[in-house]
Amino acid sequence: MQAPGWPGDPAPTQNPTWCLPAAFFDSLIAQQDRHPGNWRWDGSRLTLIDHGYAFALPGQILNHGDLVAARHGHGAAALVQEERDALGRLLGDPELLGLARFLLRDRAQALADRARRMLDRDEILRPGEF
Amino acid sequence: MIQVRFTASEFDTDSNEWVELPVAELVADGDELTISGPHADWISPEISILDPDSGERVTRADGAERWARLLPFAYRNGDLTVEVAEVAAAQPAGAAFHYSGGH
Repeated sequence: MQAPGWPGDPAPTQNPTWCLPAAFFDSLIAQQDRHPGNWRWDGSRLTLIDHGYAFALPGQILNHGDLVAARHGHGAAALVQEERDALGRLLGDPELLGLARFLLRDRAQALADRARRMLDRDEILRPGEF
Repeated sequence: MIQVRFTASEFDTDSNEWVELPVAELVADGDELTISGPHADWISPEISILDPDSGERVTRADGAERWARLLPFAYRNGDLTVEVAEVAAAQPAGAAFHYSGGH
């Protein structure tokens, strides 16, 4: 199955509307390698691909976090209500909506810690803040 | 000299076969880098790549040939096929983006 659109287009980083949800997702999952080759853009829709480096632990390496950086760069790091609700649902489930069943325990804990920090600060985390 | 071929695959319903489509060709020669092909703009020379052996972030400034050898690790998703070859010489065809080292 092939994602729609093309790689290498920086357009999603240039308009906060296009990168807001993706940046939230990348911040939450501690995506370590989000560069323009790892998304597809078709002019109106952004598709994220390749999550081989994600669910990082604190202190681990960041290669690229372009969408998270873009959202911060646009001054749009503050959470929107749907994001607060999603984090609340995640933390309200002891199994982290199923993620705790397949993540290693320390990585599941790090995910929950990130979600709490995001809620406490009411914004997505900084690039590389895992 | 390192030559990297980027291709995509498309299913041809008439022939019932997968067809390989050229995307781009990248040549790294010393610190010089050339990207050519119908979608040369899809390939960013600015990305850094994680070296799975060392855990290092490798950029083009660390050596174009070293960086080029790691490109399969930057495009892991599978919708682009990335093939790396050591070659004696290469002549990229078509309009090419040329990047010189030492930026």
